[in-house]
Amino acid sequence: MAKRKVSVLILCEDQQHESFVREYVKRVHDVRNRGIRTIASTKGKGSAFQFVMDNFPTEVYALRKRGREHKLIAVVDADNKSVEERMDQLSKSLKAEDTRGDSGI
Amino acid sequence: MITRVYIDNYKCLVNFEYKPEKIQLVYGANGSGKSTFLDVISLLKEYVFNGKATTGLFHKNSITRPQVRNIQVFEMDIRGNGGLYSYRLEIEHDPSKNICRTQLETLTFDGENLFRCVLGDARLYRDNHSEGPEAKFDWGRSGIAALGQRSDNTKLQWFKHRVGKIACVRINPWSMNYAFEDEELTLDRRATNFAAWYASKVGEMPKSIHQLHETLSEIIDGFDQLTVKGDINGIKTFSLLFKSKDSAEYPIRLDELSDGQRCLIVLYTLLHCHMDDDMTLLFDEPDSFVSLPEIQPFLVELQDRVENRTNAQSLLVSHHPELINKFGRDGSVRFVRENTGPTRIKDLGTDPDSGLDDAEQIARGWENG
Repeated sequence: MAKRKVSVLILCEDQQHESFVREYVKRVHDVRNRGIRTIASTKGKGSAFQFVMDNFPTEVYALRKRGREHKLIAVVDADNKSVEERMDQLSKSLKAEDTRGDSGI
Repeated sequence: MITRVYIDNYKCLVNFEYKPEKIQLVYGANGSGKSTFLDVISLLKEYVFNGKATTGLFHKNSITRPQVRNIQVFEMDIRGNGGLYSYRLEIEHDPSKNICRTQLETLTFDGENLFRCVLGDARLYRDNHSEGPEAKFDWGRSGIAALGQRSDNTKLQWFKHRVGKIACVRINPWSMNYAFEDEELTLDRRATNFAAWYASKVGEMPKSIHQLHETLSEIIDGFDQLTVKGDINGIKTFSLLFKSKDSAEYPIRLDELSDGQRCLIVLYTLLHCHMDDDMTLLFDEPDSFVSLPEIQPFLVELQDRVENRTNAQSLLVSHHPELINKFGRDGSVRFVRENTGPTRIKDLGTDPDSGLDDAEQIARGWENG
């Protein structure tokens, strides 16, 4: 069998995020479905954002171990926050992991 | 697409109603009736489209036990052709003689009659629902299957062919034949006749075959194309043509492939050559034999094809965590039986705030109800 090699990982809140971003990646970056792996929350609204936040540090760590040819796309709704606030939350989640000293981030 | 199925007095399905979505995962414990449901859909196709006899399809042991009612009821609603078809079939058993007959077979379109047959005495209706002639049919077979195409029964014929476009597969790679004599238009439930079915698609849809080859070349190292070659005795053999790094070509017969490779070839052939609009694909454990990295790409391709076609539909029966987590609570139903009672339908029963994904909750038996 040809080994499936994932180069783009989509971490997102739901199926709608997944469909939208996957189609974007396929069309703009010429990546086939087999090159994309999706981790979508099956949780309810609200906790779906937390799902992305919880998994983001782990995925960033795994990505950095794999090297630069791999891409991670984290997708969250801004909801009642601004885009900058959401970006800040994601950054803080990395820093929080980093303080544990074992994440390698 | 199939919008409703009602089954009564067939194995564990008693007064059972299911309204499937466009694409949906059917989950349930072992023995909860998932495969029985697919059995019924297959039987209805054999009866209505292929014209098979009741006695060979509806066995007396399929009557729900310990009940003693001898009539089984099957209903199927299909939306398409600009309206809603409602089909009803009542099968009456005589257990002492091990025979059964069609007590009632009816078909309506948006509530108006298209066909009605009671114990072999049928009333035909035209496309405008005006009464047509009376007719006699064998009460052991479907009158709809027996009716030929006429200029004034196109609605009925549409329904019959739509039922023919339901494909229900549980791939058994060990039973797949690599050799055959004649092409076959219908893929059987276990994909036993895959090679003969594939051969019928080659001339019919060359573009789809080309796309299929492209997809398979991404999955199987060295794959070039699928081939069917006949010998002087009329026996045809299904093989895969491979190309080595120095461009030397060599064939490998279907039975020489791994179980997983055979399953993937069937799955992707169904997607490329069988998934058009007004098509229903029912997969019973499509993840069997398929390696973990291959499951999500297949599901993504299937979902794309179903969602891009207005009336295409797919139902998947599976226990695999990859499917449970992909479809989740919103995209799944659960078949449940309590104390060997009849099958009922519930939602997945998982808690969105448990901190665990759906598959993990189910693995622990922590889902509700």
